[in-house]
Amino acid sequence: MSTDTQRGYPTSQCPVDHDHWGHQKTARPQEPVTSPVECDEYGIWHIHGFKEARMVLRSRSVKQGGAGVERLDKTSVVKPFIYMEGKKHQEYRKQTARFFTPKAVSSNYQHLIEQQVDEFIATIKRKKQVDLYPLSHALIGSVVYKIIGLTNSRLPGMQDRVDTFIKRLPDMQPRYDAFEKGKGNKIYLNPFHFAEIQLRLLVFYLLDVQPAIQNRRRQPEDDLISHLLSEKYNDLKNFTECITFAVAGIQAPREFMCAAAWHFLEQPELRARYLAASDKERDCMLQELVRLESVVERIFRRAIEDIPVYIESTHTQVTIPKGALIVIHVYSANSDECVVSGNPLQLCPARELKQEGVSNSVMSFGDGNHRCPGSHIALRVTDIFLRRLLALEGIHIIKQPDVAWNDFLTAYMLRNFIVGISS
Amino acid sequence: MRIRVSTQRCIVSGVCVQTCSEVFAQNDDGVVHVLDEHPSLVHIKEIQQAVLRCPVQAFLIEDQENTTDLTIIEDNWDQ
Repeated sequence: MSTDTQRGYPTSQCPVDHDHWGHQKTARPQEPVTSPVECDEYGIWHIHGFKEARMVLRSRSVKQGGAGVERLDKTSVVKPFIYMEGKKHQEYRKQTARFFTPKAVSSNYQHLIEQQVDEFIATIKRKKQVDLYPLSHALIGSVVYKIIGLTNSRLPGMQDRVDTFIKRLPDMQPRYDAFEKGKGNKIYLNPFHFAEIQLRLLVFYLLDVQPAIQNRRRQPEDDLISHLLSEKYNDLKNFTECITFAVAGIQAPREFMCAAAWHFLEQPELRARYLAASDKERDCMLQELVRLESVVERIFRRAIEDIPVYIESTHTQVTIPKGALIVIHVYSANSDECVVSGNPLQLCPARELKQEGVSNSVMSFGDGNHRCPGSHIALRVTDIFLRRLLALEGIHIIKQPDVAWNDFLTAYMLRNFIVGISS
Repeated sequence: MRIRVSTQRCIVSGVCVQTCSEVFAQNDDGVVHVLDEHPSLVHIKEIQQAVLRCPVQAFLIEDQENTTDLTIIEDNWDQ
C-alpha cells in the first residue's frame, strides 16, 4: 500500500486531496488527549475514545446527567420525555417516533420544507444578501412546529418568541464549582434572567401553545400535541414537551445547516461535488460534515452502578464507580484515529471509516437509548436546503459567521452569517 | 447465520433502515420490520453493519460461522 508521507494516510484508501478541503471550524481548542478514558482530580470520568464512549452510552448502568436534568430531578414535577429513563422513555419514544420516520418526512413534511426553501431563495434573490441564521430557523421550524402541532398561534411571530428563549439559554451558565466537585453541570440562574425566561415562556404558552391545545381538544390531528392529549397529558405537561421539542428540534439542526453551508460556500470544488453527487453520496458527505462539526461537544451521564470499561488500545479495564459523573467528549470520539482514517479534523467527502459498524456521523447523534430521534429530519432538511442554495448562480459568503459558545448545551453558535448573490 | 430482531427493544432510530434498506424497513409506527427473512448473501456486509450500528443492540446473532445460509426474523428474544 502506498502512503502519502506528507499527509500521513494511505493514498489507496482516500482519493481526496485533503489540502483542498475544509478544516474543522467550530471546535474549541482542546488539550491533547492522553488516554481514551481518564478520571480527573474531582472524580469525574472523561471518555475520549469512540469505542469506550459507545460502550458507556449503550450501557444500562447510566442515566442522563446533562442540560439541567439533575436539577429537574430534584425540583420539577413535570419531566419532559427527553429526560425520562428506562421503559417509560422507551415507550414514549416509540409512540412519538412515527413523526420522525423517513416515510413521515416524505409524506407529510417534504412539501413544507420545499415551500420554505422556495421562500428563502426568493428572499435572497430579492434582497441580494441575507443572514443565514434566522432563515435557518424558518426552514427547520416549518417541520418541527408541524410535528409538534404549533399551528394556531394567536399572533404572528412565534419564531421570534422561541428565538428569544433560545437566545437566553447561554445565560444559564453551568456552575463550574458544582461541576468540579463532581456534582454535575448544575446551572447558575441569575434571578433576573430566570424571571425573564419565565415571562417569555408564559408569552409563548399563551400565544402559541394554548390555542394549539384548545384546537386539538376539539379536533385532534396527526401531531405530537394531539397524541399527548390522547395520553391524558394536561396543559402543563403538554407545554413542557412543546418547549423541549422546539428547542431540541430547532437549535442543533439550524447550527449545523449554517456550518455545512459555510464549508460548501468556501470550497467551490466541494460544492460542485455535492451538487453532482447521488443521494447516497450526499448523505455520506453530510454525515462526514456532522462528524466534523458536531453541534454538541459533550454528553453527560451519571453511573447508577459500577461500570467496567475495557480500553482496547491498552488492553486494560477500569471501573467507573456508581454515582460518578461521566463526560463523553464528542469531538474527541469523532476524531478517534482508531475509528476515523487519517486527518480526522479535515473534511473528506469520500471518507471511509476504519471501524466496521460505525455510522459516518460517528458520535454526533449520540448512541444508546437517547440517540437523537430527529437525525433523519435534520439531514433531510439540510440536504434540500443546500441543493437549492448551492445551485444559485453567484452565491457567495459576504461575512463569515461569528462563532460563539453555549455552555448550557455545550454547543457552538454561528451568528451573523451573511451570504449574498452577485447581481 | 441467524439474526433475531427484537421489535420490543427497538427505539425507532431508523439506523438499520438507513444502513440496509433492502432488508429492513420501518412499520407505520417506525418500528423495525424485516422485509426479507432470507435475503441474498450479497447484503451480508450491510446487514452486519446495521446490527453493529443499532444503538440499543436490538439484534442477536446466532450461528455466526455459517455464512452460507442467512435468516433474519422478528423475534422478541430479550423477553
